[in-house]
Amino acid sequence: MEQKYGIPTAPFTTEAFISVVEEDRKAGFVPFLYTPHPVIGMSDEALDGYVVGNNPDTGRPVIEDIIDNFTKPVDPAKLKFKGAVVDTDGDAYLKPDTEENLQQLFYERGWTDGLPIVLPTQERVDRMLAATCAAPEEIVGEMMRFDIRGTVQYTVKNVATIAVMAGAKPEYFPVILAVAASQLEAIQSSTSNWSAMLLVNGPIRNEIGMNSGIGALSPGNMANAVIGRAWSLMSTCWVDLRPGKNMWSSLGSSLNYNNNCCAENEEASVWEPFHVQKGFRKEESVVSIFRGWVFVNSAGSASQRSIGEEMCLQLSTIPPTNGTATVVMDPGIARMLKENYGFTKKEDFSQWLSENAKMPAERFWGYDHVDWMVKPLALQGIEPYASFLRAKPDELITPYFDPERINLVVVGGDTNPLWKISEYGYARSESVDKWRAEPSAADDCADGSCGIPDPYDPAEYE
Amino acid sequence: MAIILYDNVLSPEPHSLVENKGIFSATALAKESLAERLDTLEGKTVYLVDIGYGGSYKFMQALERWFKRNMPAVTTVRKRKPGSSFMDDSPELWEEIKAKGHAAVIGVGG
Repeated sequence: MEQKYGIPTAPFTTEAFISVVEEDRKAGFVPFLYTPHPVIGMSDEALDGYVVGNNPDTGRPVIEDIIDNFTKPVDPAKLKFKGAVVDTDGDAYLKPDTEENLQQLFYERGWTDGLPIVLPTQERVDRMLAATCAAPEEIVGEMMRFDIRGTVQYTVKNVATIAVMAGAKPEYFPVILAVAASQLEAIQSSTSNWSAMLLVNGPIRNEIGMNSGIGALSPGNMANAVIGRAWSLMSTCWVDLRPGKNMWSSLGSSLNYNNNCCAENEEASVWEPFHVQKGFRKEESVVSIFRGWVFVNSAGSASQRSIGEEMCLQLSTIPPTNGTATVVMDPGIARMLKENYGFTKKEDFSQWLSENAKMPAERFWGYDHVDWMVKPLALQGIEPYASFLRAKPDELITPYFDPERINLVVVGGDTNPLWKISEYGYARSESVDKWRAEPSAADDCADGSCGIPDPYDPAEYE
Repeated sequence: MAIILYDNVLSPEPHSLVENKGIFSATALAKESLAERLDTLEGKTVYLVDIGYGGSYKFMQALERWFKRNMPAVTTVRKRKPGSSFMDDSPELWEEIKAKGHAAVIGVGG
């Protein structure tokens, strides 16, 4: 507005983001103003107070700063851009020290999730590297790093270092490389409480002893724990997604310790494995990633209502931001849905949920995330959101309208027919086999990429 | 007695780091390029642009109330920015402000 349109502007954010403005090449060069934090959720009276109260940055009344912004020359010295100061030792060895001191160094530098790590010695990293056919210096991918408004690139060796730190055995390494190849962060640069799920399919699950049965989402299994942990360590060590640094999640999420890492119980499932739904062959090993905000348990079985009714009740109170849902269900639930309710395929039940999970339009539009992320689509006339916006307040709408956005995964040990339901969206799947040291039985093409579908659009939430 | 580790320990930091690249990259703006300021707000039109982030519309309502009460000679126009709060540009709205307005408050992130 200032530069291109010549309009004096008073851009606002809250005091919580002063440091963000300082690091931003655009925001740092315009005269930003600040309110106290937060704005969201404050009453009219409180916001009237913000207007006449002091700008936490200048100590002057906000309204006076606005008027001055419009009518007085802006002092360039007061513009905030400083740029990020980033110190990196990529590919370097650390100064030799005792194990205790090095553990403390990793903690102080933010190279941990808070738990002790396995120190990545050259010998350990070399053992990890021997578990893949990929060269140590091969670039696996890149991720965006918020404070530098830039990206980081990471190699196979960088991933091996993280794998060692997480406590991985070398045989887990191809799975961890596949996770890294997704180029998706486990932790988000967001003020909201994000979380994610890692799902492993195919023969590698049993080869490395992953738990897909009783307590698959509980602590206790090394592969589940370590692979999920490695993903979060990539976020903290490479992208500096630490609380108050590049991550501002107000409450955070304990799910980020291992990101719901588990394997699908393909043996006990009456349905097609998840990776086969995504175009892979059953004998391929694949990791799939889901992300979102809400992950809810079913407290008990569906004894008084049908399974479908219970799930629809839960979905009717979850903000359906992207119309996505992921249900992680015990094999017993899948069996009942098939044998008692006639859903012969996962797709059939996804279709049913898409038609029967409903909520009043007023509730839908009352969700904060829906208001600021979905309403712009409705205002552009994009369906079905435009129709949802025209609906009467008490009219029931079907916010999970697209069955292809409803993912069903079978996990668990058949001890109780329960499930977990979420608005997690499917982000993408990555081949594990292409990273193995030896070609797997599934790898029958020359370039190792046959059978891998085009990546699903990963920008579902971006 | 503390024992120094014999083996080299690697830094876990990534291979390379490229600043100002990707979806949030931007060219640094020249400080001198800010718009010319107004001589007064009297008789002017101020756009109050709600970016759609939670609570923004209520803050703009609060500003609107203040101007009506305290500076009635200022016309306020409250608008919601179309598109995503963070990602989409809204040139039609900016053109409207240029054509019909004299100043703009835009917010509130956070």
